[in-house]
Amino acid sequence: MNVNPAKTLYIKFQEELKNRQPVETTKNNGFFKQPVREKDDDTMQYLYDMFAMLREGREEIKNARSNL
Amino acid sequence: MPEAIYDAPIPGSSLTKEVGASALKNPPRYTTVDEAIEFYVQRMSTEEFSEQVADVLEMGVPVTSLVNIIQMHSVMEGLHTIDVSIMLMPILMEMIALIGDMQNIEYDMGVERDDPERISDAMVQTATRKLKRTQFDSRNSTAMEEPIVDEMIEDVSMANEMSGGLMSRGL
Repeated sequence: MNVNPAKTLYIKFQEELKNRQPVETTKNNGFFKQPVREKDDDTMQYLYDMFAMLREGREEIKNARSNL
Repeated sequence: MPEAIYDAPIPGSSLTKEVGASALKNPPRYTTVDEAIEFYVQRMSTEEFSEQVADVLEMGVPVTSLVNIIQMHSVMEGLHTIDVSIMLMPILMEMIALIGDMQNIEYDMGVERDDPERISDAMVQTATRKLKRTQFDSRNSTAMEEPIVDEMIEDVSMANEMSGGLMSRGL
């Protein structure tokens, strides 16, 4: 059986994204916008937040390009 | 009958190296998800990396495959554990996709859900190869059979002609 972990996890994260609130505290790091991590934050929540932010960034780029 | 594989590693060969000789068997450099993310963010923010990623994406390599290779390489280099890499995979995919979008590349994410009705390209190729082989075999067998039958007919007629010995009557 051919298992692709990246694909499986990506679909899982996508599904998780549907129930999430937008992230408010952000920082820019190189090309990428990241959520600010608090010490008591749950790791998975932080990962979901980061995933959501990166996705937002992609959407912004796509929208900007389509508006040109 | 399946062919035997002779290039597989000898059982126990991984235990013949000295303890700690490979990076994989040492403690990882980045022990937490945060540290690993920082490492990848710094690394992927360089122009050099984004150009390389752009080249690979333009070649049609799916983002999932690229991420699988990157994380496996990092684990082998002893940068982080497999657990950390598994958790980071979707983030890495988004980062690579973002680079692709920034460079305006039409890339393949590789996450399309499998359609049970859809026949994979590999299956089509296998079927085509089998069909070609069958056609080739049948063509060869007919080509081989015809001359043999012709030769046999010729041999019989020759034998009939040659059968006129001293004591035999001609037909």
